[in-house]
Amino acid sequence: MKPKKIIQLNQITREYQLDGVVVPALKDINLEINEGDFLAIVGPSGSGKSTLLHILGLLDRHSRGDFLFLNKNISLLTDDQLADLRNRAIGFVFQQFNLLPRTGALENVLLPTLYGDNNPEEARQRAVRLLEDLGLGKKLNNYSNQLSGGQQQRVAVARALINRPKIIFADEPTGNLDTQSGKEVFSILKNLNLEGKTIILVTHDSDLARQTSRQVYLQDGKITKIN
Amino acid sequence: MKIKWSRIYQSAFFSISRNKTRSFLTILGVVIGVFAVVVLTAIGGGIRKFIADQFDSLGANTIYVSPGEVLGEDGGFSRQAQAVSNSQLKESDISLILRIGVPIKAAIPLFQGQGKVAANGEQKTVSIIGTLPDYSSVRNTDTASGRFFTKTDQSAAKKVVVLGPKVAEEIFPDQESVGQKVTLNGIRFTVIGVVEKKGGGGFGGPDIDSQVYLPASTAQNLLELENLSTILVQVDAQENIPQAKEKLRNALLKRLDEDDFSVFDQGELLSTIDQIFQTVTIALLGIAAISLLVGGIGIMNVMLATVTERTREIGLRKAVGAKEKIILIQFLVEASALSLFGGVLGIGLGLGLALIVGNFFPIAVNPASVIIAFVVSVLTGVIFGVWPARRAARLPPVEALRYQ
Ligand SMILES: Nc1ncnc2c1ncn2[C@@H]1O[C@H](COP(=O)(O)OP(=O)(O)OP(=O)(O)O)[C@@H](O)[C@H]1O
Ligand SMILES: [Mg+2]
Repeated sequence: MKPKKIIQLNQITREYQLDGVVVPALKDINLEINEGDFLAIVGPSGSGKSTLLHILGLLDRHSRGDFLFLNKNISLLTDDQLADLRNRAIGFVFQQFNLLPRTGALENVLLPTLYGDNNPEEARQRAVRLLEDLGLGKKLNNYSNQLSGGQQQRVAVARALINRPKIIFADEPTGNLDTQSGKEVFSILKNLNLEGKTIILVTHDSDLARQTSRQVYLQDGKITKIN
Repeated sequence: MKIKWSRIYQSAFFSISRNKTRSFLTILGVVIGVFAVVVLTAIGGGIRKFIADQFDSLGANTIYVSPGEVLGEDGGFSRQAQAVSNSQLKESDISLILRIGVPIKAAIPLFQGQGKVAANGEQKTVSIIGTLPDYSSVRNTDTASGRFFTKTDQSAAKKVVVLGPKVAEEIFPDQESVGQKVTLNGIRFTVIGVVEKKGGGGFGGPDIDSQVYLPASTAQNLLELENLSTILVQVDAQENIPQAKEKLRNALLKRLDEDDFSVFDQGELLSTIDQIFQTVTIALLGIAAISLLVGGIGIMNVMLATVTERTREIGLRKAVGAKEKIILIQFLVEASALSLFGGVLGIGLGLGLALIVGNFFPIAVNPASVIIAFVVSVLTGVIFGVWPARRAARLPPVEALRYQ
């Protein structure tokens, strides 16, 4: 059976205006992503990895080119429609964790459910189960400053999963973690992929990139190699 | 999508309580503005009510005939002292007035002046009222002890005096004053009665309890007055006052010039006083508006700082699906919650102070002013919160997340 295409980029360009000068961050990107892919975006610092991830994750808009996301032409969608798509179809994991301060782990996980139509009780049960599955069953009410880096990132993973998204975007999720915690978080992502989630991972770490199913190599905003 | 209001309130409350000192300092302007409105309108209303009560206690159906112009054309009080000393009102005018008949029930002359009562080594400055025995019934002025003077006292110009309760208390603190001798402007008088307490005094209304009453003839001699200071005219019913005033004016105009006398009632006096209070109220509202403006700018300032501080949080919320509208509402609710706390605190402090001050000063809390102060304070937060909230709402998610 042919895998389902969920993302298609055609000649995507992203330019920034800096003091009136146009600076390209991505040039002529062509990329297809299928359901179930575990894709690593690799490249040196400043090569445009985060920029590409933000565009793929509907956090940013491209300057030129065609972008189909779940068969929708992104250029035609309003900001509110993008917000809805992010809420329902996408989960994010960031390098900085980005948990709300002085907010318990459970509440952090529930944050995306505030912005969609959810049954609160059911969402809560799901959040508890996710945290338990990630080994945080005893830390439900801990604030982020009462959790280790690895634990914080696992809370962030639970938050990314709470609305049952199709795709998880992770920008250097192990970048702020020690080797052991980094390995744990990576294996969580790997397991999620085995369960059928599409994972798109930005990483410096070529060891990690080798363990994914596909790799995109970026240099100076251009794709140099796709596996 | 349904807006989860309870979570928005929760989050606003959380964010305000996270930084208690800053929140408190932020709302100080609103607190002071609302506090000022509540306290000042309560005091103003109290004074106004006090004056109205004073007039009421003098009998509602009374018309005053005074020498000269009392109420100016433009409504304010005009210079009166000179007019009183040049009074053209004569005792014969009383019979002129009484001849009008219905609706006029009584007309009583007053000779008024200042004097010093002394006895017992004590001394007090008082208003002297020389009048007829009927005064007591027309003005609801009963004696608490002793008696009011009689026709005999009047016709013989006897040196008898009825004291106001405050005068009696001060001159004879621990003894019965009836029967005692006092000097009034150096002349010996016998105290024959003390009138009942009416209360108050000192805020623009006459200090009734510090008056002393003499027979008209006696007062005329003592104060060396030829003509009357005032004529009190009692009307049978309040609704007949306009008609009676018209008749009075016509009767007096037969003998006097228009400038020689004024006819007015307490309704007119009260509306003049109300005009003065209105002016004061507008000035107060101006001050309150300025302090609310300052308070609002304070809130805007802090909300802008909050938005900057929480850029990453805003970015994250947008990344997980928050739309512009929700972020806007969240920050608007936060700004208006701040000003609402300010309003509630200001009202609480204001009512508290009004309660304390009410123990020794007339106070009338105006519920309308409290409600208006509350609404305006909340609106302040909404209005001054709009700009920061829009700024937050429009942050592109990526910039918000990249923000260091
Ligand atoms: N808001 C912006 N305005 C202007 N230029 C930007 C902006 N964001 C990114 N860039 C530029 O775009 C290029 C790509 O940046 P990006 O963050 O995607 O790199 P990256 O590959 O993620 O690097 P790193 O590995 O260090 O995170 C860089 O040259 C950067 O300076
Ligand atoms: Mg990056």
